[in-house]
Amino acid sequence: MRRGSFVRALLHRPQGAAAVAWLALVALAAAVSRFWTPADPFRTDPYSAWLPPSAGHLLGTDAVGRDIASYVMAASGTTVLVAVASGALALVVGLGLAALGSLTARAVRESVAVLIDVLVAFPTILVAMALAAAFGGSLGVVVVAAGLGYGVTIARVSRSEIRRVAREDYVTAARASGAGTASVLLRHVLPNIAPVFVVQLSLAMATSILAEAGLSFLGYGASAETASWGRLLADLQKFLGVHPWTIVWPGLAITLTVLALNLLGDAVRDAADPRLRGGRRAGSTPPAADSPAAPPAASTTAAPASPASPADAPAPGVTS
Amino acid sequence: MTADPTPDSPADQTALDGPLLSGRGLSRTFTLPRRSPFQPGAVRHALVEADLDVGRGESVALIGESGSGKSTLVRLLLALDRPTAGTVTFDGREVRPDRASRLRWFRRRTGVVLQDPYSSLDPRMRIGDVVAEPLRLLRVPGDHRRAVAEVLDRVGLDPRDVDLWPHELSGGQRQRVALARAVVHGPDLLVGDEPMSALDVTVRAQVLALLAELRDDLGLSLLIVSHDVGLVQHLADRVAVLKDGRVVEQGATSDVLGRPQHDYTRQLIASVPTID
Amino acid sequence: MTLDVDDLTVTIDGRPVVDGVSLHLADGARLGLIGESGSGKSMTTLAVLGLLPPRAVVTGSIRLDGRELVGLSDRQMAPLRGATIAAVFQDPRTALDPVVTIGRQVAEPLRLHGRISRSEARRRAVAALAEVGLDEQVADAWPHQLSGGQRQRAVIATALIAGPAVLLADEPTTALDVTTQAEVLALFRRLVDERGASLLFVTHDLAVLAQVAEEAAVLSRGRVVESGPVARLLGSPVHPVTRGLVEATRATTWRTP
Repeated sequence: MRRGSFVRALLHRPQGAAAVAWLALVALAAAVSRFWTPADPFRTDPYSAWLPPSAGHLLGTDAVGRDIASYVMAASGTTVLVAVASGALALVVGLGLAALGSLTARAVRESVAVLIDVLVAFPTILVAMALAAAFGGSLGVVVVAAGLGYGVTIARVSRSEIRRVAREDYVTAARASGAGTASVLLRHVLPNIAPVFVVQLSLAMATSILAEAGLSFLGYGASAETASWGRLLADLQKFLGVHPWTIVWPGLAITLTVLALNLLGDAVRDAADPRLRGGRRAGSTPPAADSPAAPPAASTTAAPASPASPADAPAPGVTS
Repeated sequence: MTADPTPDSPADQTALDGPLLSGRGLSRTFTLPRRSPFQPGAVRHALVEADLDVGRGESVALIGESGSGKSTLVRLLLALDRPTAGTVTFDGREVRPDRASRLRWFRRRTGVVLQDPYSSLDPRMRIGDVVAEPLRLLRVPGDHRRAVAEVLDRVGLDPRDVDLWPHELSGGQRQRVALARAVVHGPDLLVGDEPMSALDVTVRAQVLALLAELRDDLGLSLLIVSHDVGLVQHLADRVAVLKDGRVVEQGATSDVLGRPQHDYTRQLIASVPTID
Repeated sequence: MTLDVDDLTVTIDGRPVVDGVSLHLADGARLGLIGESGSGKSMTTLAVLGLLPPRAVVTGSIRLDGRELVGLSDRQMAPLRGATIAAVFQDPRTALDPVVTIGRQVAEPLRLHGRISRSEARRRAVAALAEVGLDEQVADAWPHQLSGGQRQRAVIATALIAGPAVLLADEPTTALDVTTQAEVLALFRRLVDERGASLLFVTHDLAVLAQVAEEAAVLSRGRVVESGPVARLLGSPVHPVTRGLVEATRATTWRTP
């Protein structure tokens, strides 16, 4: 797939562009915060508590005088770390289990299918709490719990997609042309399960951020020395009745980031689908229907996975 | 090249004279998943002791209705499935499903076209890459881009269309791409599983003519699976008729279709609609 | 009953999929509609039944024994469907509800168009199934237990049970094996003649058309390009589209050796 056209397609849609813009901002803030923040995020100053936004404190200060803007910026680093690490773990676990559950011998396949279903039943938050009880609360606990929890969900969804694609004629044709299992997987299966998979991954990353926020809020996640939007929420929440506005900042940060990840997932899925790129090349013959089994011509319905698949279109003369 | 016209050993003799592709005693049984732990799964005999040969330069057709086992037989002959019994030989060498690297010699000499133009091309690959895939997988030396352009031209497509996606082509054009992919690496045998069933009749006539042309220009042997008796009549030198997993009749097309011996063949021919 | 289509035009999203089509189906006649994919033949059938997608714009006239059908609301069309005009479509796999027994499905048109007791419905369903060559046991079977050919016969039984005067068949044998196809086509001919119904048979296969229809109209891009007796169309086609179809069919179909 030519890179240029994918990026263009991604940024062409407003959701894609907005999502990329926000996430780039978060990533930038995270990177910059390693070297500089407007003020020390952890410096407390009881005499400066609850200051309104000003030049010195762009978002004001909290109950113990910390500069909210600096804290939120520093915490973006944590968010990026958690999202990326959980996403990576979920990806490995998800695809690994999915592959095991679909491309192996029947006994293995069916055992893995049962395993996946059992694992999906465990609520991620409970797993995180159990791990925290055993190893103490930390970001590592959050990442492992989220990565495993969402990895299994990804596995479940990807598994059925892999099995569907494995049955398609183009996979048979590739094998008849000499493709081995690895080649089929990398070049045909992965790109074709991508729509479903990409969305699931973005959901996993988004949910892991929420999980981190929630767990830190409950005290199982980031320690007091790590800046986290969730912890800030927890700290500010106690004063909701008296100072309701400060909580907006971490809340907004979490909400916008989660939303951006969701939108990005959808946008990537659509941008990667050649059928949705639209625009026929000038000069080439438009695909006039010339087959009784033809799907409706030039349909741009964004039905995932197989919009034009005639799996349900009867072919004249059923083959054995 | 002044090769010794008399081969050295009986094995060499057979290899040179024998058929290109040969299946002997091929059977394929499927065990369906069991419905309860107490009963074994049902057994389906998709193919029972089938023999089939495709000679060098010969066009052979497998006719049968759904459930006849013709697609099963073809998959076994292409080593895309493991037979429950029987052997497959190609040019004297045995062929069995195996790792892709071990079968490369076989894949190099065979090409496949499948029925459904709407699912035989990966929707996420441009057609240039689709046609080039066998060259890449089989490590064929030479300029791949040029080979792709040449073969696209040969099947009646514009070589400049290499960047198009499958969904930008009609069914007939996609089938031409599939044909291009099947012959780009210079195989000796072209196998088609109902390659024209899903096409309109005018397009079908064009693709049929193209298939015959490719066969003659490239000196291909042909193995075509079809339920369409009429199509087979126009294309095949020899036919084998399958019913319920068995080859019930086999022979020269004019013999089998002109003077059918088996009841089923007769019934099949009598059922075919004609415009004469 | 006669069916007269006059200058029928169906426009979807600004594109005319049926463009000024005129047909005449005489009482008790068998008219074929032949065309390749995208020629508008299926849309014509749907227009007669009033089953086009809501965004389709229909102009022209469709008259059933003089009664105008274009512009009728769904409530006005519903009493006609099944009882006066019935249809058989292409895919036997999806034409039957998988969770309803065959007997009940075959009898459904009777229940929809009048009050009928359950025992009477079953009796008539069994009779209808017998007419299409299916055993009484089939009435208690589920669709997945039948073969494609049997299912299509059940669909035909459903279409004919309420004694419609006009039968529309859209590629009814395309998804069937050739031996089954021959049987089903013979069934169509017999039943339609016995009941004196009028048949509009739509197909893309000229050879199949020749087995069923006496007269035919050739469609291309939504227009009728040629029409007349089937024998004449096959023997001396005039329009290039017709000629193309006949030549292509000759090149790819069975010739008696």
